[in-house]
Amino acid sequence: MKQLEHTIWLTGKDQLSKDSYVLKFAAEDLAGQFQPGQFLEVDCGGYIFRPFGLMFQDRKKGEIWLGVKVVGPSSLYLADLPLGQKVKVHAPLGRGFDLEAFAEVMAVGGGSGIFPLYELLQASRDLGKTTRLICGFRSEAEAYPRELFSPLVDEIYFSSDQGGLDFTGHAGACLNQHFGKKTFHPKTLLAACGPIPLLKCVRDFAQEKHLACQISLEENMACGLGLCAGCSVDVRAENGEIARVRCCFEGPVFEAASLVFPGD
Amino acid sequence: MDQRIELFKRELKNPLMPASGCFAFGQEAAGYQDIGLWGAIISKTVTLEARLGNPPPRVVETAAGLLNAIGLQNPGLEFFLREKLPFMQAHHGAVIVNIAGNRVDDYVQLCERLEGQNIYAIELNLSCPNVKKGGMAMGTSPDLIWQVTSACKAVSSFPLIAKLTPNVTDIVSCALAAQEGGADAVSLVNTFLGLAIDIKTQRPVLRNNTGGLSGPCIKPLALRMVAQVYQAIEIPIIGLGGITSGRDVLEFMLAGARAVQIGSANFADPNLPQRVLKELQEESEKLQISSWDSWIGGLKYWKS
Repeated sequence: MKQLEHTIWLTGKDQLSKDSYVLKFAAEDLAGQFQPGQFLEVDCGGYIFRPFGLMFQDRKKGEIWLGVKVVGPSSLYLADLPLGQKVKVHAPLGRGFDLEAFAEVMAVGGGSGIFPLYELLQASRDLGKTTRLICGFRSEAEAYPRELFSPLVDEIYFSSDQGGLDFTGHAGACLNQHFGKKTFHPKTLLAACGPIPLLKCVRDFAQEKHLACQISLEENMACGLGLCAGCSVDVRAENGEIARVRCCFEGPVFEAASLVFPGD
Repeated sequence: MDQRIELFKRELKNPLMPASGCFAFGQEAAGYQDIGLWGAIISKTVTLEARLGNPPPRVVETAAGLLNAIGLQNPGLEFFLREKLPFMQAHHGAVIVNIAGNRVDDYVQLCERLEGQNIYAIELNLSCPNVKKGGMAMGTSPDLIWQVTSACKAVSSFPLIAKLTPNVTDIVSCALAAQEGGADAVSLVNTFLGLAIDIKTQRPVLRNNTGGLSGPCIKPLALRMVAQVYQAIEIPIIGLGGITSGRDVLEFMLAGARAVQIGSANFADPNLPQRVLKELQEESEKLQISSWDSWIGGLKYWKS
């Protein structure tokens, strides 16, 4: 039986932009247990726990990072925690990215969707893979510091819907602009997390280029444990029929080709 | 104290059960807890045909509660019997199957198909607030409650539990209708119909618009209904609604419940049965409860 309950300690907090933070926790028994793309259910002071993707794990230091964008009471609760505070979590949860077959990773993230890609890029880097990243933000003020990501990647672009960064438009459009004519290594994995229009764009790009594509979805969750079916998402089963599967249990990372997005 | 409790002429090791829909079919929970700790285990609602349920978002946290509109997503009876029930049976000696249909005949067919299975009881879901037909639509009319229970009783050899909705003006008449129809117990209560609103989009948060509210915020409402129904019926009550601790279990049993179900609290505590059983043991010793029968329904009302 898996031990899911852990208590972690807040040891550091870095503000990344006007509404986003990296929270660093001492988590000796958890650091090193995650696949990139897996998540934690975190006690945010309410009745049920809230899901957050793992941003980074440092096995040696026994440390994990969570990226938190303040969007409501739960994220605000975490961002306001004092250093030294103990936090209960359930982890590691879900199915993460499967990196094994790939030589290169091209990650595309929008907003807080960039956080789970951090550990993906770190793990890919550790395995000697070539890594590229496109980070999309609504505005320049919401952008995270570039130097947070640049040590992890061979190539990086920042896009902003409102301009002021490398590219004006969303990260998916930036992908088309900068990599539309590129010939990719056949063993390239496209990985994405963020708003649905961005995910659709990355999926279509991968299809056109005949590249593998894995997408991490964000959905409202209640249990995070596979119990309640609260976070169901639509996928196309092998027989062509639509199946509804749990984002927390069968996901949150899915093969892009299997996903059925609203409006597809 | 001895936690064992007799229900349907059988002894359960304790009065705790996971509420239907908060435990899937046991496989996921078995990955991180000993599901044999529960007194009995209950399946997610099974319907004749597979159902996709409602589109997302389906869940949202509210103050001391959870609002959900899953909509009875399930793989259908065939798949359940083939792929899910055997696991439950292999891991627990007392399996309760929760069923729902759109019409009386669906419930009857489900009961017929469950005949001969090694199960402990059948729970009739007459109370799901998140589907257009069946569910709560059945459970708000005492006449329909009677029709479903009596029709199922006629074909089933298993104890029948009627799971009732609190979204009625008179819960007692609903419970009486279930008893009259031949139900062997009632479970009280399913979720309360609720609404969560997003002022940014000016829309309901849930795609189904409304949902069923569970969690500590409904506990006093559920306790009141259990206590009220206990005064009026002969058959046992299985109490549920906002239970998170051993103390809560004792409250429900004092109000008249013979067993209890724990639902969304499982989401915040993967080791819930272990913890609640320990709390129950400690609390019952502190209170010097000699036996369940001396405690159940022992609420001492104030007399004017």
